[in-house]
Amino acid sequence: MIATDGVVFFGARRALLLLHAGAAIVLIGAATHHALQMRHYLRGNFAREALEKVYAKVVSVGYVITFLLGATVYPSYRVQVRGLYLDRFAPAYSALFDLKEVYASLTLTVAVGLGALAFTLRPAESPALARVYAAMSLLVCAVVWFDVIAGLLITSVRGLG
Amino acid sequence: MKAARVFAALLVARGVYGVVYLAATAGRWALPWYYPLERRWAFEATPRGFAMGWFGTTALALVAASAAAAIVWSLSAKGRLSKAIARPETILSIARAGAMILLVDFVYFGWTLTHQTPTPLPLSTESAPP
Repeated sequence: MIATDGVVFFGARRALLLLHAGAAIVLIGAATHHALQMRHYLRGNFAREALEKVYAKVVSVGYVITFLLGATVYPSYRVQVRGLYLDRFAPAYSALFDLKEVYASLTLTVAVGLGALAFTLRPAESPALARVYAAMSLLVCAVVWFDVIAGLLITSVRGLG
Repeated sequence: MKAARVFAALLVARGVYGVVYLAATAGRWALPWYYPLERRWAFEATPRGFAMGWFGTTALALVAASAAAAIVWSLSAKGRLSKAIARPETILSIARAGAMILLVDFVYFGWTLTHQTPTPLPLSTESAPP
């Protein structure tokens, strides 16, 4: 068999996966709440700005932490799950994982941007920018939901073990 | 004004990230590839063996996006760019361009990644690729 023990962080894969999942739970909660707050912004109601900004900061930090933890588990997954199993028996799930990783990467700057804008944006003063901000929030929320569902589906087919 | 500058820098960074990520993948640029079984990195356009390109592509796109954000941020402190960014129409135009880049990225990767040919690892190390 391929010597998976030599893969970086392989010995800590379960702990890292648990932390990755825990961070993803925080992230999906914050991203969903933030996206729901955006319905007020789209109607021109900015009364809940303080709460919205808390969610935005949690989304931003949570996204980066989830992303980094996922990156540490990735080599173990690539060898043990995808290389040895999914590519041979369930290639559709290999593709699903690749999509999850690439979409997460492509949305990283948007998620970080939400956090940065939480410190500077005054939505009542610039409602046009608030609409762009709302679109960013909805995009991050959609990608997070897609990634969480894809991750659960892939793990249901073959986990890190 | 500060919010507009942050917005402009972020949206440009997002656009550059998407363009570089797509160009590096589709154009097969030379990138750092990670070989997880050998725990080593190699800078090459095409991997020779079992390697991961996601780390290198993401890192390259991040560096390019950070540089773009820094440039926009510093140039928008004063002058004509500062005045242009103060207008919401400018930010909306950048946002629309960024959304288009993102859409192209999502469609391109959605298509290519669901139409790739899987190459499973050999179950025996004797037949593993060099």
